[in-house]
Amino acid sequence: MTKAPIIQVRDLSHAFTEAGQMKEVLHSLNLDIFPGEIVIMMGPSGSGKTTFLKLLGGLRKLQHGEIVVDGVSLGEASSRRLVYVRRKIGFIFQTHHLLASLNVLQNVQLPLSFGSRETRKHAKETALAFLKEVGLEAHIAKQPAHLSGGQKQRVAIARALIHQPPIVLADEPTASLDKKTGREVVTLIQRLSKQYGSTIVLVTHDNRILDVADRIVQMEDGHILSDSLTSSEL
Amino acid sequence: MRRSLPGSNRLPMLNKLIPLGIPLAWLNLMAEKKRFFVALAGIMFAVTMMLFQIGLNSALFTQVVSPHLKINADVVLVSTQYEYFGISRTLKRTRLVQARAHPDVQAISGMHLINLPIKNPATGRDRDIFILGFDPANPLFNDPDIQSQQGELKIPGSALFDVRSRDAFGPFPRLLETSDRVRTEVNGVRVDVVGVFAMGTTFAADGNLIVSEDTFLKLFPMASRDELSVGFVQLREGADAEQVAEDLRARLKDDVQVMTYGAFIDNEKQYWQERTPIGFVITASMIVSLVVGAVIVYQILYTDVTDHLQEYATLKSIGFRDVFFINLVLQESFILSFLGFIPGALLTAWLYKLTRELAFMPTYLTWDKILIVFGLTVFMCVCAGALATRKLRHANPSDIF
Repeated sequence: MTKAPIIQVRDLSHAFTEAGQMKEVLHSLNLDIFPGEIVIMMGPSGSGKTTFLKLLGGLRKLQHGEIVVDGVSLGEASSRRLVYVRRKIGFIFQTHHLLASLNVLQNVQLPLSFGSRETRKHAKETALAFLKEVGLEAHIAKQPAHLSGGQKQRVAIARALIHQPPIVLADEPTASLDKKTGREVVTLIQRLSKQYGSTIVLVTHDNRILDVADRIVQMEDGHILSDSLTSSEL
Repeated sequence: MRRSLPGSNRLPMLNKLIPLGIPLAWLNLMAEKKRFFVALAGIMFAVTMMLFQIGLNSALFTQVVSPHLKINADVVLVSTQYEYFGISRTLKRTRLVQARAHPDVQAISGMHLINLPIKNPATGRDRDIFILGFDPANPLFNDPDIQSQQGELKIPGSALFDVRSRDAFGPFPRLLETSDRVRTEVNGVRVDVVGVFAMGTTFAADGNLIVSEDTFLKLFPMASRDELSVGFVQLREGADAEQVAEDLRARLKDDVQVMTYGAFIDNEKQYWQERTPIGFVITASMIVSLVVGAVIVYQILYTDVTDHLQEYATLKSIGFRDVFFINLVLQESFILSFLGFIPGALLTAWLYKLTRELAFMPTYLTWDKILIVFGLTVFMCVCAGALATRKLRHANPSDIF
């Protein structure tokens, strides 16, 4: 890799207070993630990978160390600046949390209201195009309650990627899906990220989807045990 | 490869407020129709309560001056001990005659007032009625019904009965449909009710009877022609009532109080506002209605926020700011206040009509009442909405996932 990293993590430590005692869950982590990479974070429960993801996304305040996302130091960023950093990130969660009162098209269209120069007509066209990309063009008028788990997750992916964020953070996106649907969802994330040039950091337990990764980072007890390129990159 | 942005047809502010064309607040509210209609019912209840209380308050204090509003006068003379239209020390007729000497005074009329028992012609039971005695040769009243019948009062022992008096006084209006007079007794003296007029009850009077001064003196022999309860002064066209009142204050002895007609009405309203707990009761009821409405709206919006918390937190995590959610909840509260207000106002209009017909109270839905209560309703809903957003504003997306 000769490009500059889009995410830089330096000496990152984090602790929680548990029963009145500080418990460190991340220990002096260092990691560079480069533009366009698909990085899968593996590790058992409690290894600190979800906390790491939240810190990358600016959802949690840094305690020690440094994270620079697309040139912005999260530790020094104001809360207003953090909001703009989040707008460069597409989040995909284990549970989709789509707005039940909106139909599929409206759920996907909503994040485009950030763009001060975005028109409603154009936002709708973009949302329709994304829903076609994820294979849900026939379901645009449905409410989330009338979709299957896989379909909901695909709507959530379309919502996360519609503003074509340079970075996508995905937390166990296949956890609540069956094997086939999980595979479809991961393939979709991979395809769209390649198409739009997004960098993906994906946290998972699911060994079956490791083949989509450019890099696999193994975590345990808050430490990075290994950080290796996959065979496809070698 | 970033998307290009369109170059025309931009309405950025509107897009931010209504990014989907239909307000998200409306979609959220309609997604839970049962909850939505419960909220509307709660707001409708609060609006009806507030509007009805305001209407009642306004009607009661219009009602207390219903006799005043039937009288032609520009300046009023009363005793210095005058309290309200009904109970007062008398003033000397001489003072009224002296007032006549002012060049701007066109006419003067005296009025005697007293509560005396009248016999119900159907049951024979006595009940105090408010009696207004005046000289029927003077055009003191502006009411066409009284004017057209006041000539008949010149016959001693004749009286006009207020149809808006309480039923307990007897079925005078019904009996007059089949007879030209209804005989009864006032203070033990025979009286013939020869006609009716419409005035209305006040805090001081459950019913009204108008008689001539001569009849009044027969009914209440302790009264004197030289002593009046109130003296009314009518001015020439274009005369300044304030100036005449000022002049009369200077000219007349200080055993008389001179006030303009407007001050006379204000004095009556103020007396009853200060002497009765009605103003306090109405204000307290309105506050209770406001609080009940606010609690209902708060509950509905809080539940809505709680139910959508994870969805909102997801939006927060992808870059939506607090202001988006505050705006959303405030929009919901405004929609609720507007849609709850309409049926509340319609229901109150119907209640006002019932009150007018059954209790003869002047309850009318006027723009000032609509604006006050709508303002209070929006205030109530927005406060409830602002409180409901607290949970969301303090929610950290990382704690939710």
